[in-house]
Amino acid sequence: MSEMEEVKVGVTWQHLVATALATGAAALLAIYAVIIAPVAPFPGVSGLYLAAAIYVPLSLWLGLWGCIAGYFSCVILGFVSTPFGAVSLIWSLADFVEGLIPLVAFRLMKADVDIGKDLQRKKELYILLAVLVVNLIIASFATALNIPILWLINLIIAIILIIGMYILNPSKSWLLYVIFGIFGAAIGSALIGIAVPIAFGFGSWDAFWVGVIGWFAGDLIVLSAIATPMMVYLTGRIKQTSVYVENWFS
Amino acid sequence: MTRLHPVTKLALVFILSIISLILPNILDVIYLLLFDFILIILTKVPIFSKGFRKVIIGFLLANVSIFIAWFFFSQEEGNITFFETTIVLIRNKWEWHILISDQTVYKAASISLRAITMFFLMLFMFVAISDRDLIHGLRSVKVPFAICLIISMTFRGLSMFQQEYFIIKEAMMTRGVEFDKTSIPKKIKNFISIFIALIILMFKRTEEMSASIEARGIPMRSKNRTVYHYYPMKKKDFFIIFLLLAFLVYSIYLNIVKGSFLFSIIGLFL
Repeated sequence: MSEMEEVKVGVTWQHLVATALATGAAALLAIYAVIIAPVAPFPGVSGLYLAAAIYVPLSLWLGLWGCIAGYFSCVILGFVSTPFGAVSLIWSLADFVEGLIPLVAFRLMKADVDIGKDLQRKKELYILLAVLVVNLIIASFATALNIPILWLINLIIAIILIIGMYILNPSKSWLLYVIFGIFGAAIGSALIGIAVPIAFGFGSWDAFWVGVIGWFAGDLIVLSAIATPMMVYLTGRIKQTSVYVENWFS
Repeated sequence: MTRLHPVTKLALVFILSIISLILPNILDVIYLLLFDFILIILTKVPIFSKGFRKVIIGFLLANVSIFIAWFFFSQEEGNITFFETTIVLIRNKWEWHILISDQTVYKAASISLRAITMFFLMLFMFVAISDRDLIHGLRSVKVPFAICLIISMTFRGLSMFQQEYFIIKEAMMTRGVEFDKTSIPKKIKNFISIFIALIILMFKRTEEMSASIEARGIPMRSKNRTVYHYYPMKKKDFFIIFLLLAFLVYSIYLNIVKGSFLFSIIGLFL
């Protein structure tokens, strides 16, 4: 046979070990983040949730194993540093979703997770990303305060910035990462992460938006400032290891 | 307490946590909290030592935020209104209105008390079950070996990364990297450097550990693997789990009829 055959590799110990170790690392970061930057009045919520910075890269590198690692690290956080107890098992879905949203987007769109490959005009791209993050934080306030005009202006600015990014660096991966890996992941986890404690009586619905904005803004900053450079510099190297997951589980 | 099966202890923690959320009467929650203390005392672990005291005080301070949230954000109208005012009003659409009544105080106290009860249950779990007990216990109730191994590695991972984090940080500090007295962008940059090193180490450790597991020939789906430590579940374990489940069902009933566990027990004897 002269042609090379594609070999399908199933789930191996490497995936399980990577999940376990990633859970340990993420749990440590999560506990640290909740201690250094808590968001009152919600226990277990951090304004600078450092663990979020590794949830998105982990899910893009390890597939659903990365999402599972995010979930269990949040369960550990829930047990160790919040009063949620058994509710942590549901609350932790917020961190599962944080990794799942970009993973689904990348896999369904069949995009390459290496956002740093052939990256053009890095400096300008990072400046636009920083402006987009500030713009999105203002947009979240506009949503909470029910100011449609401000919200609409923010939306238009966000679209212009994203188009600008695409003009600077015409890459599907980068665009998907910004929309789903930063914005989508932050909003998805913020909504679940605040709604669950309130639904179980740990907070009042009147404080919902205060919590959502705190969570969303914190995740947005961490994802853009820490997760993005990690994705840019590490994805190429991780893809060369046998631990890298190409599909969902293997 | 040490003679109970780890699965029974886990059931105790999880079922009582759910019950603490379900019980409608605050008095019942207070008794549940007292029961928590009894459980912790039975473990004979010095929870009033310096190390534990820090954890408990830290949690109680965090719990104040739950009380404040309900105190200032819930607007329960009661029989007595202590204070009422509008703090923020934006475009007549969004307002932060404070109403402190006897009901808001009751609700804030009730939620805080439930949170404290759940915290002490978790504390009981951490002092009464070691990671080794947990894994051997899970193994003896036929939880797959692979899952037990993953749980064990997660606990190892936690302490391993804690050590590695400090090693990397100290290595950077010896090379002149400033962590404390520096600007925020520099701090973020330093953290990224630590993260990158940690991630690379994590993947390295993954390859090493999985190679070592595979070299030992440990299969992922093994039904007949034997364990050195074996904790069988005894009759008393089944009895306690049965009692817990019965208590859970009764608590759901009490929640529906808005009754009190304590008063219904007193009613039985009168």
